Amino acid sequence: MKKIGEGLSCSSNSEALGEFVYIQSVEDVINLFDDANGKICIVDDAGTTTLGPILSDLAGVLCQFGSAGSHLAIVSREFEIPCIMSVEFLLEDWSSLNGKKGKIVTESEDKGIVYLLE
Amino acid sequence: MLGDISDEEVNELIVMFSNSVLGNFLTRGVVESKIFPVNHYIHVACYILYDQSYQYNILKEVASKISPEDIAKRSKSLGSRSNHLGFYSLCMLYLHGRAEIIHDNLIKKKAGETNIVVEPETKKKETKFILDFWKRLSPNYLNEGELTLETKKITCLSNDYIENLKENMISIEDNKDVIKQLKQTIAHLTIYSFLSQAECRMSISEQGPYYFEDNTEPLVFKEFLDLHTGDDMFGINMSGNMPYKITKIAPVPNVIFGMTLKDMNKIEFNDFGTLFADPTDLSSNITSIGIWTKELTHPKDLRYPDNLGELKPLSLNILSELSDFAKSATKELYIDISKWNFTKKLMFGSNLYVNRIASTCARYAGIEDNFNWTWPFDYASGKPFKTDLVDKEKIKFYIDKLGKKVKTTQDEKEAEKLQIASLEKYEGIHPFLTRMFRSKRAQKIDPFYYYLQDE
Repeated sequence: MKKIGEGLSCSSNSEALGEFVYIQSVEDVINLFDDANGKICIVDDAGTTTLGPILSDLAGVLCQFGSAGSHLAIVSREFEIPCIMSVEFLLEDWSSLNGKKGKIVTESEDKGIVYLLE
Repeated sequence: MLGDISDEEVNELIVMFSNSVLGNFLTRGVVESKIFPVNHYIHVACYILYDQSYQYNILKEVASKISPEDIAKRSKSLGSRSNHLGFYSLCMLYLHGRAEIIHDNLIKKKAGETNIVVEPETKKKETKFILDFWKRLSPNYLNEGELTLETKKITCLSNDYIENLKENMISIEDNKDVIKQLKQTIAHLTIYSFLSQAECRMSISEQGPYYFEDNTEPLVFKEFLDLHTGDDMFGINMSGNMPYKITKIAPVPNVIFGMTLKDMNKIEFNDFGTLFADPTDLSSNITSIGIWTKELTHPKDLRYPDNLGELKPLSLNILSELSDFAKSATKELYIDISKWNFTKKLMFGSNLYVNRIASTCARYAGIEDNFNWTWPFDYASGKPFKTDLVDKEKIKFYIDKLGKKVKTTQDEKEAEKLQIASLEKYEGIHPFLTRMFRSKRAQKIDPFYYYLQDE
């Protein structure tokens, strides 16, 4: 297990296992309509609508910006989905994570760690 | 007579409102979306409201039938489409448009263009009217009589109104299953509401805190005002003109959740109707809930004490029905909107900002049929306009102008330059927004929303 990033943990649910998917377009979301279970989605905007239709089915959410007060964090919390905002990844190409297995862990009250399962 | 106020009073209102808007904006970021050009459509709408005198022309007719005071007093109910956020936005979006034009004119003048009148007398007259209209709304709506939320409370209901709701409250303290279902229903409705309103929160409203006479626990309300049940938008029948169709319609046209809360450290609201609570996740603090829907009647239909239709209590069974609707409608809408072109997405958003408040006021006056409300969709589909209040060519001009990236000009102050640089990554931003980030000293002598301009 290798640490690949950390940010602000914004959910009361502390841990999630799943497959990373980097969402870059609306089409990426539509492709997951029937296949969102067990996915940890990585997004770069903190609004609720981008992931809206699949959010309740996801295993976890990682977002490059935002905080506990962002719409995405609020709604993730209501669905009890682990969510880390303002994630700083230790790698440059997020899309290289597509299809790989990962884990989100809440380390302290508001610190979330992202691991790659090797 | 409305609008008959002095330059001094107008300038005082501009300073006060500038400070209020700055305070509210600085608690939130610029809205980004992969689906809608949010910043772009807001700024286009603001141009239309001011530059084309759209808001003034509609509200002038409204005021000939009903006073702003009466609109405000009759809005004092749950589930009302007119509320503090709507009243605040009425002024904010107009002044935003005014600031865009004044900024444009000052730049032109500085560049040496002749015959530029930064703020013509006709526009000053319109601004006086809008500010006079606005200043009579929230003080007659909010129990505290405030124009903006100094007390951080949004309360408009009487003690009797609240007491009448008590018998509908259901105790759910420590009932984890119901609390989880409630949370998830609210989450699904939130996603649906943002998507169906182009990321705008005008159809989601929160208010409180209230107290039952025999209970010290605060009571807050969360309202979802526009659930899709047919060809209706803001109370206007849009048959044949709705921008979207949803096959699974909502079981009720609106839903209001009331929650009593224990052990809360903080319950505060801002002028955008957002609740700031401590703890942020208040689900374990809920002790009882009430769920209602409001009968959709025309505001001129004088029946219930609030004159706006009766509240009907709903059982907990409605939660699963609402979740099913919101989840299904969100997917359907998402696929539909993903096929829209840029112009349709932009005009769908602009429509909310130009028409929602204006059409609600027109309904109170009973004159909504005097106006055409479908022109944003006619613009998007290239159809001829059925209104002479809006100039199609000017809309195209605004869209193109705002499509260009924000550029720093040579003589901007250093602080402004820094903020312009940070705004450059956003599409559709009007450069006047950089005025938000000037020093407090600069704001003091030159408010965010510009004083009335002398030549």
